[in-house]
Amino acid sequence: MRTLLLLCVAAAPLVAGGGVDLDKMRASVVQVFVAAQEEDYSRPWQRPGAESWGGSAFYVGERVLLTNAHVVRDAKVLRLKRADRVKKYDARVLFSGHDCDLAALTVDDPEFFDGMEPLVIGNQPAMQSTVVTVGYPMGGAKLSLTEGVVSRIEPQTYSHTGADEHLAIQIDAAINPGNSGGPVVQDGKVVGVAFQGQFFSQNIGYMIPPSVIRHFLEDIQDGRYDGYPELGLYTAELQNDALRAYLGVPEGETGVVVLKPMPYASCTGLLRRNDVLHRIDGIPIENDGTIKVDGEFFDLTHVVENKQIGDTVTLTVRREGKLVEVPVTLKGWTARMSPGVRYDERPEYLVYGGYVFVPVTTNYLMRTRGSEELSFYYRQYYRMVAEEGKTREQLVLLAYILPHASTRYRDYGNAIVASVDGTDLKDFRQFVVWIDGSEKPLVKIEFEGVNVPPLILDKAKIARVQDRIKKQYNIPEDRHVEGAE
Amino acid sequence: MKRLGLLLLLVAAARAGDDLAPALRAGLVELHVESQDWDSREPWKKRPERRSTGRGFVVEPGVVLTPADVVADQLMIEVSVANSARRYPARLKHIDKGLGLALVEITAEELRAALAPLPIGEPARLDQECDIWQLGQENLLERYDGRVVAVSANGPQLALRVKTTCADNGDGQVAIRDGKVVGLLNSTIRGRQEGTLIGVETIRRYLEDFADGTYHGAPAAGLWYHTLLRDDLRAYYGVPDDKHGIAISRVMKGRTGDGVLREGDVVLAVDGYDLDDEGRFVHEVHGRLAASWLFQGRRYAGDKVKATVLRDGNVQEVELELRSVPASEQRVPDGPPNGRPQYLVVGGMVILELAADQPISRSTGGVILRRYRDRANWDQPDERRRIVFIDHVLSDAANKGYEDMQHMPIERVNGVPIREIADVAKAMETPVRGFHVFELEGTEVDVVLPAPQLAEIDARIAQTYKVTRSRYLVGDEE
Repeated sequence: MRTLLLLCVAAAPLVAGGGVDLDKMRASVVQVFVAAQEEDYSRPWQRPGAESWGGSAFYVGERVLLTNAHVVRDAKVLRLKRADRVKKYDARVLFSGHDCDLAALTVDDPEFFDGMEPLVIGNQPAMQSTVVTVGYPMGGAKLSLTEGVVSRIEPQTYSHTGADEHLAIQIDAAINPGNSGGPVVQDGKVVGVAFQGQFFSQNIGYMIPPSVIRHFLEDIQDGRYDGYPELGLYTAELQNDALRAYLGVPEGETGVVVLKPMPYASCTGLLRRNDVLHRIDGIPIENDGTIKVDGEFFDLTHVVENKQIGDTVTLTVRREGKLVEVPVTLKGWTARMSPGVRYDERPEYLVYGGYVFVPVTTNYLMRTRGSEELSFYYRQYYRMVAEEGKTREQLVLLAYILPHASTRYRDYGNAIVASVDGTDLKDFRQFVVWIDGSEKPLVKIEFEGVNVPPLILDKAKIARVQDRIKKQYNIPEDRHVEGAE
Repeated sequence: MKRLGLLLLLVAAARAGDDLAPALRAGLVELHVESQDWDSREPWKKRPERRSTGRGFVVEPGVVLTPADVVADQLMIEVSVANSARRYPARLKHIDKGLGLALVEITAEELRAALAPLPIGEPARLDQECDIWQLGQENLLERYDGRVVAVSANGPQLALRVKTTCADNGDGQVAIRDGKVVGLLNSTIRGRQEGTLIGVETIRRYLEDFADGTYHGAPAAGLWYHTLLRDDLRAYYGVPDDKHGIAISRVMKGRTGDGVLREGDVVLAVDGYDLDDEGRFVHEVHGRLAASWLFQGRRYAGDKVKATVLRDGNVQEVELELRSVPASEQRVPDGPPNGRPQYLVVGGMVILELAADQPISRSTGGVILRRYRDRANWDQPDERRRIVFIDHVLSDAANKGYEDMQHMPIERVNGVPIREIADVAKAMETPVRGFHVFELEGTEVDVVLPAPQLAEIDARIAQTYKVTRSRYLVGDEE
């Protein structure tokens, strides 16, 4: 069977659509071996056991290889192996773009790159055209090639963060674990990076398109990955005739209505409620918020997708009956709370006398069952950060209590901190600083919710039991707070 | 010996029944109720009518006491009595859903004369036995065993949990001990041989409430407290080790304690009873009960009670007026305050007032509505008398783009803040530049309807969706 498979692979270069030079691929598409350790957001002072997994990567020149960010997330040890060599080389991550699921790697040993030819990034493949995925999927050790056809091109949620949406190309070749990070090739050029499949379906695989790959490569040119710009606007469709008339939109003109800009974001101070976005960079916006590009409809943010932070986008706006041009300099995501899953970061926490406090993150929420109160606040995520002048930028939770003679209270579980000593606090760091710095012997913490009793922390008492609790629960450090020493 | 003992027991039981039977035949009735309520989502419709039976006992000539659930939403009530297949007309005399009791008046003169009240006895205690009686099949008397296994104060109600052999729905069976009523069976748990009795304390206070000619009802909840079992809270509220009670955490405007108690007060005693750190007191008959019994169950709205309070380290006596909140004054009432839901259908939007019995989704607006509902007795951050919301939208060309909206609270209409549903109708008398503008909570999307064409749109939607009546507000023709 195995021989047969290899024979087929060897025959692949002869197939017209694929255009794969197998020898070149054996050098330039490498297998990634990862030993990783995730963070445990529910027991943030410790890590679960190490895991290992594999993936694929490919050479794009200048000693840089591309793969998926999810392949190299939380990696402690990273090794790369060429199909035409025996040795595994130690590698390291240069940049991880979790929002677009791409990462750049390098190997310090120059020998690794001997005879390795960079793969060229091509153009977006046409619908129904044939492509070949190249990589190291499960089921064997050697390089694998699978042919497929482009079956759909549209924005998809990138499952790595679960919150970012970018263009993706669906192909009918299955993408299996291990394929991730490998190139999808057409006429000898890379037209995609295989990155996710779909549960409960067969022969549906997704690849990251050339536009997103280029965006990543361009972004890291300055030695830093900044991520995608965001328009930072809440808009609503203008499907309703009466609403259009009320907003003074002339008959036949289309667009979407601005509800409000997010604070500190690209459009803050430039756009306001009831502005109607009519064009973006000259392209007319439809009443459902889409624009037509190459005969296909995309969300208007498609224009921003192809720009970098710092670039300009021009919005044509109907404001109080008149059309005005508004140039907008693009910024990235500005809110403190982000709805996406985070990686490569140590979770923040404070264990204080058995009380475990954490800031709300998607990672934490994935590990816990929240209350109605918590889900209310979670729903308000965007709305909360979108209210200028609102003190709170992060939610702090009393996650749970480590049982100890001094903490025998069962009244709490994911209780949202409302105030400390009567003061509404901005974020987790300020919360920790307040507790450390409070001169009063008793610190009063109040919580959101109906009749949740306050927690009164007796600082002297906690100082006496803190070490015992740390020892009892094997907690090496009682806290991790970003930006604090 | 064994056999003999068993025989004796059987004889004894039969005897007790025999002695009581005439009184029970004259005192127990079966109620046949036709009921129907309004469809809470589309209130121009009524739900299919329901036919149910329940029970009760005669408390005064021609008047029957029954659990409130038996006669809620009634259209017609008939009664039947022991050993007879005939049904006689009756009518609802009074209902208190909060207390869980209702009075039904028998209108048939000949039956009134044939019935006699059952005497109400002393409270049944924990572990005491009682007999559960009902008019069963063929209107024959049926007796089941009962034993009180727990007593608790449940809001204004004194409830006795009983183990009983009665497997029917608990719907007004009467618990008898020493020939007298000791409770009214309110519910049973199927398969567990267990039910709940409304105790005689609650029955008596209900019947006696009418003594001065007006019904006062039970005081409302709304005085919030924290228990003081935790050392940190005791230290924070400054409670010495020898003092016990509860710490007031919130006093609602217009409710019991308003103007007298304040946050942080520690209530040590109420109405002559010392409280413990869990907010319980020792009742002379039933032992430990929740303090809600002292505030709500034992007294009438408008009564005054003395309380001992620890404030700023000093023990002082205060007097509290126990206040009630009529349904019409509640921000989120249990159901429509006057029985019939108020609503408006404009531009296909079905606009309602929030009541506790409405099913609310977890949509963005639904989450806000649930929060208003859950916090109705906790905080009222604004001046709204009711929460007015768009329940759903009857899809039409005029509401294109809004058709998927569900459970969205309305903040303003045509710039006017909405405090109750009547405000919506009023605000719509003055459109803005020819439009009706609805500002919603939870979204910045305004709903806009063209004012001049609205009558035509509403007529079209009414036609399409068979909306037989496009509005009902209190004061409209019934």
